[in-house]
Amino acid sequence: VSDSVYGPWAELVTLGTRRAMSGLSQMLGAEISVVDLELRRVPVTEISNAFGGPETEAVGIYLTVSGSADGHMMLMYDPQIALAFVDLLMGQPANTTTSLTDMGRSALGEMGNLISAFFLSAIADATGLSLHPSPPEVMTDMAGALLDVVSADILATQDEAFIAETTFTAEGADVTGLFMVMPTEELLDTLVAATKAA
Amino acid sequence: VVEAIGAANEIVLGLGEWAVSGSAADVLVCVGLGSCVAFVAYDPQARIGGMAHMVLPDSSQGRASTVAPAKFVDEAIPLVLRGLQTAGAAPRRLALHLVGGARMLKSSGPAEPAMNIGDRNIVAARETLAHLGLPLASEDLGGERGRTVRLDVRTGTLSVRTAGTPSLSGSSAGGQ
Repeated sequence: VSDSVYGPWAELVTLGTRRAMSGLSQMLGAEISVVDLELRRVPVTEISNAFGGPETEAVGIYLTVSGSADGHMMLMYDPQIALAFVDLLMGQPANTTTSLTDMGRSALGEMGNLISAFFLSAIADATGLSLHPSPPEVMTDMAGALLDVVSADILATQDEAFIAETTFTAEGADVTGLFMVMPTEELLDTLVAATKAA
Repeated sequence: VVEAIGAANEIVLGLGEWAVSGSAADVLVCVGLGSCVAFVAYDPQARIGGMAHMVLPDSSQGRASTVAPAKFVDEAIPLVLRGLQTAGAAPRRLALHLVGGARMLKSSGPAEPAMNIGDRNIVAARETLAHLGLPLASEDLGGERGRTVRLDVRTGTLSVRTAGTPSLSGSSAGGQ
């Protein structure tokens, strides 16, 4: 990515992530800290190496972005940590949830709804674009299999993927999560053009 | 007979990558296949194997790629078959296998073009093979779980691990 694209994209991601994490913090009633925010450009063939390798078991909360242009968003958790998040989301004592039920999946889906809505509204405010999240899909599988959903769409037209990865933790609970935003090249161009026009 | 026992040399194929090997130490691997489909072919006599990590069904619906030449099913299968022939495998001896093509998204989820991509990949792979007049020796396709597939080039043993299961189920790809 050239600097002229990277700069505005980095600013938008930082803005969106800050808003999303503050929304999550309110939802959980717990302080959320961003441990790491990284923007990468990787060959699409290597997307599946995110989250500790393609065979690592993970819980993924997946949403697509549509409207002015398309993109993908995925929250990924270690399965044990997903259970801890369910407890946090449902206001239960730690270790109450021991397996992922429909109720737990629904709670994680709500978390995906909230994070994506806050992230996209921040970006919409900054660019004037109209961007909508899809309903969330909560999946448990090998990380590579989860990320196939994203890769298949991006690889149809691109050899490289732009990934914004946010690692966050909730204070007072031993949980970390990964929030990935993967715009298509089209969305990236649209965002940057809108930023310049704004 | 004493055979040299060395560490297996795993050749892990990323999305859209393919490989052919006649080296006994090699194991061809696709890790964490979701909607992707692995095409596997093995000549038990020449002990040559090939594999492709296929992502999308149809090359007419996308842009060609230099980093992922085997991303489209309709192009990847002929690519591997030609590679095997060049390496000395005989087409009539090949045992062919398809693995993967899971449905990762349920109907309640995001409605987007990648939906049911697993099903579309399976259909494309079967059609491509039928068009070439090539029968399948085995298949492990569909469902809702990810898979890892390994082909041991020395023995022709094909093993598939499905997400959420600890053990490997093995079968002989060579059919000997």
